Amino acid sequence: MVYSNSGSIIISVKELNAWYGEKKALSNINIDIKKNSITAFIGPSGCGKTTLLRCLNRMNDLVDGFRLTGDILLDGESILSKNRDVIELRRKVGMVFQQPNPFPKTIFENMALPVKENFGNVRREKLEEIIETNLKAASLYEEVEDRLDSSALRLSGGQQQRLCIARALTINPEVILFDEPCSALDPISTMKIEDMLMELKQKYTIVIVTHNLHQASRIADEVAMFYEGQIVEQASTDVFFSNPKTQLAQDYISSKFS
Amino acid sequence: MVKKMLTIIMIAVMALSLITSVSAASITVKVDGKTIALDVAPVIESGRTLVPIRAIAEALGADVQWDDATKTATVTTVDKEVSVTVNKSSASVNGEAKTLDVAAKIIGGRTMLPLRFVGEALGAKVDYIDATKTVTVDYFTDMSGTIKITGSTSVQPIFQSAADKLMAMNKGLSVTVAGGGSSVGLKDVASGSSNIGGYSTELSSSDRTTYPDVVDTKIAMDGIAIITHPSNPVSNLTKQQIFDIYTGKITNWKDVGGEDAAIFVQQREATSGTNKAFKELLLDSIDKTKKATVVSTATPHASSGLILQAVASNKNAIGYESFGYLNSTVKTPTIEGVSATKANALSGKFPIVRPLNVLTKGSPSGLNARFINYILSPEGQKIVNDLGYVPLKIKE
Amino acid sequence: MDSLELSTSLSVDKAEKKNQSIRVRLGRLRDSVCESGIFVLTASSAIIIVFIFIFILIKSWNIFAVNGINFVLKSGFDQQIIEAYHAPADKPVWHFGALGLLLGSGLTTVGALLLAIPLGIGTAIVITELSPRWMKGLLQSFIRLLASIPSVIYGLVALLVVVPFIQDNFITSELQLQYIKQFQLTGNSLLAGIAVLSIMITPVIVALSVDAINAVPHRYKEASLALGLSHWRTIVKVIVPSAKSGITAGIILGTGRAIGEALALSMVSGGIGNIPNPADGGVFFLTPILTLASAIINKSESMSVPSINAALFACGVLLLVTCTTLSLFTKIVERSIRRREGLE
Ligand SMILES: Nc1ncnc2c1ncn2[C@@H]1O[C@H](COP(=O)(O)OP(=O)(O)OP(=O)(O)O)[C@@H](O)[C@H]1O
Ligand SMILES: [Mg+2]
Repeated sequence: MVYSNSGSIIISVKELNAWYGEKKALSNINIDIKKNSITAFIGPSGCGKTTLLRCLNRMNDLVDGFRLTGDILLDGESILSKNRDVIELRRKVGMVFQQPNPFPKTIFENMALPVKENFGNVRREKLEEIIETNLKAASLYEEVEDRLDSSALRLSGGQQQRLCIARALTINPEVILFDEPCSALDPISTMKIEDMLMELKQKYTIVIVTHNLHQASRIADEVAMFYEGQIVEQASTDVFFSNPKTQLAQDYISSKFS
Repeated sequence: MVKKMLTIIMIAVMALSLITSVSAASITVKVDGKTIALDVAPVIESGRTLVPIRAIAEALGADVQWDDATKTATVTTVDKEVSVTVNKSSASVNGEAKTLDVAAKIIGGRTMLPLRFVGEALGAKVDYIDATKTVTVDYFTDMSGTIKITGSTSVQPIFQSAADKLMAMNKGLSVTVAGGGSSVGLKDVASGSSNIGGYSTELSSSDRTTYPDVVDTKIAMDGIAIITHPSNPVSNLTKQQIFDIYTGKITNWKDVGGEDAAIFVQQREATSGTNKAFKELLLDSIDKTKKATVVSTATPHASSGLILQAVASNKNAIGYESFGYLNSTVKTPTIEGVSATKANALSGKFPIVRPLNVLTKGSPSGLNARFINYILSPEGQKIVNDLGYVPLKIKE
Repeated sequence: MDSLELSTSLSVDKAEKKNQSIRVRLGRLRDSVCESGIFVLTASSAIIIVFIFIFILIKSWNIFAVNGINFVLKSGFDQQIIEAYHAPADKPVWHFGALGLLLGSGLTTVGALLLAIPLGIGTAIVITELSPRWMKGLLQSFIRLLASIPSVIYGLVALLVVVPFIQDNFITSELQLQYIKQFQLTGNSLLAGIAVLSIMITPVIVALSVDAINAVPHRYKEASLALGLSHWRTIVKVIVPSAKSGITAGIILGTGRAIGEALALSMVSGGIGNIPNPADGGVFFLTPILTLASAIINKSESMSVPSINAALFACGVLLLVTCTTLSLFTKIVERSIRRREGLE
């Protein structure tokens, strides 16, 4: 059941090229992302992982001078077409950033804001229920249960990141993009988030950028390796780590694992 | 035959005079360092310079009168009266007979007076500088000593400007000017604690009897015009109407012959001299108890310019303004049929005027007199005019 | 050989350490000199402020002693000044009531804030979030210019533009006649005062709000957009609230300028301490008024009279108390905001 589900493709990137002004950041990207799976983007710094990730929910629209060619399909529909509603897209494709970025508000308000903004004025009990469910899903609930009304900025870094994940879940996306969510965290927080991601995969499609190959091998179903703006190898996790086809991948894996 | 004889005699006299009096076209006269423009050139006769006196006397703050019947010229300042009769060697200074070494003459139809005699009689220092053929008369540049002035704050600015100018010209002169109000000026002068007092209205007869030895000398007039918007059809107001408007009894222009519109009364802040003068000259002249006050809705303004602007920009406003600040942005309706001109203020026909007086103990003399003469001189009267008051001597 | 090297390197190390410790100590000395210098400066300016306050309090003491609380509960300041001015020296008038002035200051300031806050924040949003980059700099320097224009210029412009506008558009001659016994409806009014004040303080609010919004971390904006909020909702719900303390500072600064403004207001607000009556409807805003600061300026010519002198200083006390309360209040609000945001 789960397996057959993960066979269908939710995002499909076709012939994507991207530039920051004159500087080319992505060239000729083709990749399919399967539903209810975890896809990991790996590769050396500056190779374009974040750029591609931010193309998937059009966050790069904010960047002056950014432009791209090619196409990205979500459920078979282009997300780049002129009349595509970006807001609706971002509701379907949520994002968790490398740096935890809770709003300077209470924990409760952090969670409630996207709910209210996306679903209108929900009843208080309903709101509390949504918040509780998602905090639990991000395995944060027990830690903050009794201080929902204190500032989110007082949480630890790991807690803040889990809050951001919980917050991303509140709007019920289909896909969640994670950009190095654990880079600022200690091993224990990292483990917690990894467990959580494995859990979330049941309901959501996950794309994660990571420098941690152990992490990729632990949680990812698919791996795509980037190098200088191109995808040099992409395969299922088992195949990628046990039997990398390109020299670049072999070198990268061995240097990182040694 | 007789006519011919007369003509011959006339010619002979003229020829004679040509011989005795050396024409001195190149002689210049300087009063206090300033060259005086003379319409007839001075002549030197027997070593004495004869001049047309008027321009020179006026520069010293004096008046010149000519009595054609007796052929006598009289030059008056606040402290001196000098009379010189043509072709007579006797003259009088403050009623005292004096002898002239060279008599006054009529030359070419103009009366020529001996400059040294008249100048020195008035108290000036007269010198002749042969090298430059210049006669110098030093009067306001020849002052030293101290003068203490108190009294009316309305007159104070005139005193202050005059004092500043004179002290700049005279190293040894010190003039202190303080305010205190007219009554303070009167008491100070009477008691001798100040030399000159400022008094911004007529001395009352009771004051004259209380202080019999205090003498007042008028130096300027202060007139206050009523101003309205140029489009206001009201062209005349009576004093009573102005009183009623300013005390709030009349609030509609209709009631004084204007349009059916509210009257917006503008006034100066309580402390302004103009405000005080307006109350004294108008309100108190109607309500003798002096209890009348300006209606409380009246908008107060901090300066003459602001009240003018307020009236100029509001077609239903009424205000009052010192003569010196009037301009074409506002209309000045006549009061009791008399228009607000300086001439009418001087003649006393205009109803809202008052004299600005200086008080001295006894007739002004010495340094005090010279200070007052300065205010009466063209320069002093210019100060008066510049400060917004009405000068006594108007140049036509 | 080895041990020798080790020992020399050790001794070098020691020398180095000694050097370092001297440097550290010198640095500490410099720090402490700086600190005490700053402390002296701060303390002396605080002392000066306290002295000013005490001075003004002493100067005005008699007014509070005679009038007590009535000084802020009774009105009629203008007439009282005139009475006091003309009172004989042996019977001075000490009764003053500044309620009209207090209300004048309060109403103009509140009114101006109600206009200037939305206008100021709106303009700041347009500058920071909605205009292209080349326009931002232009608009920002324009706003700075506006903020630095002396108030007398604003007063002059208001006198020549705003007052006639109010007169022509809101006041009829019937209305003028109807109210002439109470006050003059000439355009010089509460409304004109509010208008000129709001124009004066808006640039202050804009300038500080722009800085505050620019200081909001970009990641808040990204987080919000990624959660499916539109740009506009992001501004309303995330950016502006995050800039709250800076915006509040701008509002407070503007309020201070509004309360303390004397010149511009004395030119356009009517110059008489009437108390606007809400029962008059729209005429409420057309009533000529006088504020505390303007009263001090307008009546300063009468300061030679001791009781008026004291009364004007008493107005100064009211102004100072209001401003001090305001800045204390700000501190409290700001602290509570920061606390809620978890910044403290
Ligand atoms: N806003 C931007 N403007 C200009 N160039 C950019 C911008 N963002 C990224 N780039 C450039 O694009 C290239 C790809 O950057 P990107 O952030 O996608 O790398 P990355 O693979 O995520 O690296 P890292 O692992 O360090 O996060 C880099 O060379 C980077 O310098
Ligand atoms: Mg990156």
